[in-house]
Amino acid sequence: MAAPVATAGDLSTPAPAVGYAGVVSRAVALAIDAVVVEGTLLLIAGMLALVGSLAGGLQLGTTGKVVAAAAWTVATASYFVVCWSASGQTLGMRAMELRVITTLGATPRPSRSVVRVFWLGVCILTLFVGFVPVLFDARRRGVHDMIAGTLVVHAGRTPLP
Amino acid sequence: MTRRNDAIDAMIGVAAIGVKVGEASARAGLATAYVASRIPLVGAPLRAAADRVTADGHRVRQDAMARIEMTVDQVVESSLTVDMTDRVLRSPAMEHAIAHLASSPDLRKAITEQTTGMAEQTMEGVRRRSEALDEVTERTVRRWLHRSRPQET
Repeated sequence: MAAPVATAGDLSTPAPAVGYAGVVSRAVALAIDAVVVEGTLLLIAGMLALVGSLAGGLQLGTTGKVVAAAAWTVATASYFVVCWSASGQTLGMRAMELRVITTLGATPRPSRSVVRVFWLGVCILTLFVGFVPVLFDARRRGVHDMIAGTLVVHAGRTPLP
Repeated sequence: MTRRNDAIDAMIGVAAIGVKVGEASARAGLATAYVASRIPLVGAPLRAAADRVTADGHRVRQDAMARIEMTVDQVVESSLTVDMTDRVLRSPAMEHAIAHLASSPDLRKAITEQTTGMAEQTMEGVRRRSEALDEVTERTVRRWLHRSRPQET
């Protein structure tokens, strides 16, 4: 069901480099997303903790903590997957007028978004090393973009024909 | 009703004519004074007199401004003004006015538009600077590593 991952050969016309989002624009968008998602999750967690403490003290065991961490990760990943699959934009990307597209210029499907968010997580966990190729790649792709077959472009400036 | 309006219009018309006549007279008077000031023998004392009149007028205006400022300061600083302001602020009429303004859809719309406009302006600035920094960052890193930008194939 996964969408075919296009390669560089799909691009029939060279695109202007300015159409692809650079490392700073993407970092700002990611920071906005982090604030939005993690802030919301923190608020929810705080409210649950408050309710738990009022109800007689909420104590999480090891399993509970693992489940809570997994739920947190899934919620964060879901935000990105849903946003990319729905419109190609998260809230941060909308603010920065960026868009994720496939190398064919389409909005990514959920399966491709799942691949991308997984590798985005890997790129972040490796101290953002996965973003280094953005500085050198002709289409400013990170490792997660290369694997998922996606591009990040400035919305309204489509680099593809 | 119509007759009354006609009368008012006629009065306004007469007043307008009066203003026009006055303006024309003033222009004529000024033109005469200008010509007179150019005549030898009469011109010099006439200009000196005009300068004295101007200086007097300037002094009177300065005095008047100073008096007005002093009076305004006294009024603003007086305890009576503070008491009156407190009384007005506590009055039900003021509360009613504030409630009316706060519930005004036009005011809310204006505030929303202003806030949205400010946010958009801020984000536009952030976007512009980020794009500029994208280029600068890439150029700097490539210069350090002596690498040129790869061309798309």
